[in-house]
Amino acid sequence: VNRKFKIVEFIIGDKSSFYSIQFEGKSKSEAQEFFEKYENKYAEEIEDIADNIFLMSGRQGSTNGFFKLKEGKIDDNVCAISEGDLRLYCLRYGNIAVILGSGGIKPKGVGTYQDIPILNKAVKELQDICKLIDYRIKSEEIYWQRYELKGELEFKTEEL
Amino acid sequence: MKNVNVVLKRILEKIPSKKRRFHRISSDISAQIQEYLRIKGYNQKDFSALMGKKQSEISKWLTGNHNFTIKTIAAIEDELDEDIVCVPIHIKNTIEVHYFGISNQLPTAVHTITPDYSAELQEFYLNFQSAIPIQKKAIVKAQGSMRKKAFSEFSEGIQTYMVGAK
Repeated sequence: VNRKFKIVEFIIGDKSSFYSIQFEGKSKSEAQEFFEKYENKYAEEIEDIADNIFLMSGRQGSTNGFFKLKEGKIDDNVCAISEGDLRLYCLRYGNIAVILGSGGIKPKGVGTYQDIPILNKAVKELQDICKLIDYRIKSEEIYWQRYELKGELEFKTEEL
Repeated sequence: MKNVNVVLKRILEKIPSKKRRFHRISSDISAQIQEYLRIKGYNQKDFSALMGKKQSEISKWLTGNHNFTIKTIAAIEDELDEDIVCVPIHIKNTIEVHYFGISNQLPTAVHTITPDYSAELQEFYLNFQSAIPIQKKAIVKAQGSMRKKAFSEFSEGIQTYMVGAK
């Protein structure tokens, strides 16, 4: 299915900036939907993840230890911020920028994200988006200016 | 900090300050360990071998929100030969003398000063010396940088017990 989306700001800090993806026809970004969906049922985990993002953004930078790396394929940047059973998938660009996708619950004892449809969908979406972003970074249509992403931030998945 | 998403902002505002302080301290420790590992060229596998821990345990330490024990921090500092946690020591220089008379039960007088000036310390010492003929025993409590001086000067001429942290 061809979909249009844009990259929107989630929190811009002095050490690292966090963006998310907003699909056409939706009023909220994927990250915002994730936080709203689990805000009450997984309040503790959501608060931990929210504060982690805030602290990375303004204080420590998005260093690799804060993430579960290599959640996707070997050649993409898909990783996860995890707290308890909750996973928020994202694309990490060094210590300075992160693009947040969606996520969900990965109960203990379940092998991989592929076994859970909602997580599988979140990871696959990010893998596709990663390819589009990489292409635009290489073609210099988008670029990092300090910690901020600039340039043409609207995409169509048919570009793949 | 600019352009904070409204939902993120709302969630952050709900977190009690005590919990936010815990998050900050814990993730600062984690970030500092990560920085030392980067400088020393260690990856998580090297670090787990160094600490004698499983990689999954090390991963938990580094993802933030880990409740580090002082023993664990001391062990990490020792292995990396670096300081991770620095505590500001705010201990006043105080001398406290409890004099005891014949009854030996309750102190007959308690004098406390914070001798920031040598003149004040001198006056305190003179008072102490004049008290010696009447008092039988004294407990001297001192802390901070005055401790050594207090213990040497206040131990003469009276049965004295010294207490106090270095």
